[in-house]
Amino acid sequence: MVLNQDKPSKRLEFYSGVKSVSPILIGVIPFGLVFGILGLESGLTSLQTFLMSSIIFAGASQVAFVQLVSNGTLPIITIISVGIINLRHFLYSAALSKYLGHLPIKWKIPLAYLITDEAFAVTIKRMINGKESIFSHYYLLGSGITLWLTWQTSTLSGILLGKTIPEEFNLGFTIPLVFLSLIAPNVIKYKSHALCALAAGSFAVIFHSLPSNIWIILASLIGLLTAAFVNKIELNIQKKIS
Amino acid sequence: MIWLTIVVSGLITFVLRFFAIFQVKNSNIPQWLENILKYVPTAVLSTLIFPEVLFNDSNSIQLIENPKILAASSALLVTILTKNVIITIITGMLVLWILTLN
Repeated sequence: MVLNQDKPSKRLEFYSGVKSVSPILIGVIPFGLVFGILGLESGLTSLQTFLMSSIIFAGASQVAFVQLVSNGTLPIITIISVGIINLRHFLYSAALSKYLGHLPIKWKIPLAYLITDEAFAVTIKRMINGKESIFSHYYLLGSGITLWLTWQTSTLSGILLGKTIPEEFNLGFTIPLVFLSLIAPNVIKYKSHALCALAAGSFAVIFHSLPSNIWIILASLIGLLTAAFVNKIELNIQKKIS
Repeated sequence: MIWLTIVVSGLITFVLRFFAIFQVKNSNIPQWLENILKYVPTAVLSTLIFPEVLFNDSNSIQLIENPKILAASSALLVTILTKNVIITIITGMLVLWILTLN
């Protein structure tokens, strides 16, 4: 009897997860298309581009990857850059550990793999606001699998589409445009993010002639230091007021 | 070499996702680290945006008569107004194409 009752609630969690990310897919699909197109343009093969979407499975870092590869960046610099961009997943994982930490390893591996910005956003909301349930991890499974399938199919479509677009269209310029739309919400809202962006961007330009594209790491670090500094000042001001 | 770079990048990304979940107890990240990590995408992506927009094909900085600056500024304006990735990309590309037509 217990088993029979379990099934519907597992399914319910799974489908709630699927449903929660459905509106987000409108943003994921063009991103995947752009990545597929850019992968080919940067000189990667179709297979490399396609499999990167399942091996890395993190959009912004994949787009950065193809940009760096097309600039002839050293592999180690590319790897470090991808690592830095994806550091935030560590935060997501830590936040979810409270709700997923008790699961056996055979669950933790696929669930960890499915953690993305979007899956995290919907899952943490469900974990905090939703009913407590021993099957709540099915929610992450549902949202994660939906995002994964969408990412793979849109990458593949981008690869197929990319083969038909001539080079004169300058599609490489979609990379900074994608990045711009990713950072804009925070940069407009928070002074600290705006200063962080300005500092990182300016030093990227200043350091641009340094060997082996080391400027990517240096300028990012300066951006982070600036953010930390501004953050500290803001905290001190808040303390003084209260 | 590309394959190795992809695989190592993927492994690092997976470890970052897995590391904290792996601990059974509630993982606590120090507050200062959590604060800093929030800025990582802004810092790295700005690093990649600025040179891409400000440098020309011969890899020197070009601030005057650079169509990419106007294209990126229009895209920024549109992304503020619409918060829509597709419309942002289309606007930026259209402005770039129009300005580089001759």
